[in-house]
Amino acid sequence: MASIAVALSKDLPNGRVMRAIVSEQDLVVWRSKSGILSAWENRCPHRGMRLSHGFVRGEALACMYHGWHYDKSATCRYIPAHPELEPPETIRAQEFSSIEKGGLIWVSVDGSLEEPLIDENLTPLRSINFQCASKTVQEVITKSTKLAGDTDPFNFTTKAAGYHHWVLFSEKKELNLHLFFHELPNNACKIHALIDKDCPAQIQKQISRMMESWRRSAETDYEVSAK
Amino acid sequence: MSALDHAKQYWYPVSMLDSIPAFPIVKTTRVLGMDISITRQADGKITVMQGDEQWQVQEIYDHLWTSPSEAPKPIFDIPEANESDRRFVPCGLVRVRCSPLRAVENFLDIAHFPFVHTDILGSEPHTEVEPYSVDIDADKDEVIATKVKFFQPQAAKSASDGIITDYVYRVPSPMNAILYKTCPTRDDVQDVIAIFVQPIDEETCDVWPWMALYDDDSTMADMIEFQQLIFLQDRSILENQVPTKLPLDPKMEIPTRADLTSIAYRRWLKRRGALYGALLNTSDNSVAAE
Ligand code: FES
Ligand SMILES: [Fe+2]
Repeated sequence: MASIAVALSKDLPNGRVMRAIVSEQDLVVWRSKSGILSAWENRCPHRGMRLSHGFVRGEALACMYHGWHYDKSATCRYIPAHPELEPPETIRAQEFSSIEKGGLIWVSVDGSLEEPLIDENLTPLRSINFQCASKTVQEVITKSTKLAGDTDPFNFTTKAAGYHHWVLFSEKKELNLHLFFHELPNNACKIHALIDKDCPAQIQKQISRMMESWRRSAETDYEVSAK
Repeated sequence: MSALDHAKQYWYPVSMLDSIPAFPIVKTTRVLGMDISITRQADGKITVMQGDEQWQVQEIYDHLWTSPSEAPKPIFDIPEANESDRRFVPCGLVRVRCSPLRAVENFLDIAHFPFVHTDILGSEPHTEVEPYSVDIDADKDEVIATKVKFFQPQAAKSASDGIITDYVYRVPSPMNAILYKTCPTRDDVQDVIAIFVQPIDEETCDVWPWMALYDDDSTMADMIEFQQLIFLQDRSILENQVPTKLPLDPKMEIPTRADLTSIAYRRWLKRRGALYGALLNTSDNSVAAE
């Protein structure tokens, strides 16, 4: 498995912590005060607390339970119960590789972080959550692009449809829309969308609404098929 | 003996005594994955049924206790429950999606006070845990932690200023723990706070906090509210520990000196085979996302 996009870079500001899940692996993804990005197993080595509930303290991530600090190398540097103690180097959270490219945060949980190839001309649009599997969303997108008539402002066609990465193209607007699918457990997924840099704000808004309409159809379809 | 068979030997709290409805209303709940029904009979006697099987009951510490065993181990003693000048406060229940053993371990932990019960049971920068002692009481086979000290901004409902609070902890059976702490209003006595844990199953529990205090001023409602607030804060931790069950393999989670009580508790559980709600091997360590 390659790298998976887990969030837009701009949705994780400096000093913030988020949870992400990639292929069943629970992760904490966080950015230090100076902006350094890390992705670790979402479990404090001390007593198993999910680190995604923690807080950034300067260049360290502090666990919410007993306040242990982990620095950017995932090594524990401070144990508040023993302020004088220098923690042994062996106390470490499990690290995963992460990288930022094209305005997205990419994580790999199988050790193979290939640098994703992202068109230079793209800019991040938004992330959107779905309460259904990405396959269902992909079916909805395929259906809705096929059904779109001449009155549709975009008339998107599917230019490429990989497992995680789809490219839709609108000939009418000469516009590329890139969708990165991020599968989640329990029949859920996210799409992280990128769009051509020169796309006007008004159109960006329209596309964002179009994605919400996919969500409405996909989630109803899912409910129907689940019954 | 399986983990479940071992667990069946003990008594478990299943209701506060004063919330068992009048005849013929039946209250239902779950213990060790088994559905039970509690009925106060017309003559006032309380019965517990699991299917067609009748379980033993006893009324003690303001709760109804029951056991699936025909010959359960005797229930532990809390001598302070006989001191009539104390106020006895059963606090209701807090449902937590975690192993009953994780709930007990959290109750034994003081290092989290400044971070989880901020400005109540602890506050930064008073985070240091001084050395304390942990023993196994040979007669009673209980885990006992003594000489535990911690700075607390508001140790109890009746405390007005920060004080250094002294604690003693007892774990008399795998799913029950009792603490004795400095009474904010009197030097000569200690407040008693216990948690009685009802194992719904291995990964869900109902925690019944119970207190025996010297506090003549606070209302019952205030005292309960205070304790409920503390346990709700703990719940936000307990439901986010992975794995949900308590790992007994020392390689799985790394303790420090402040965790002596937790270390002793885990070893004691392992030695007596109290494995219901526990993970024994690293290989069971599925830390998959929910
Ligand atoms: S569990 Fe993270 S500091 Fe204790
Ligand atoms: Fe607590």
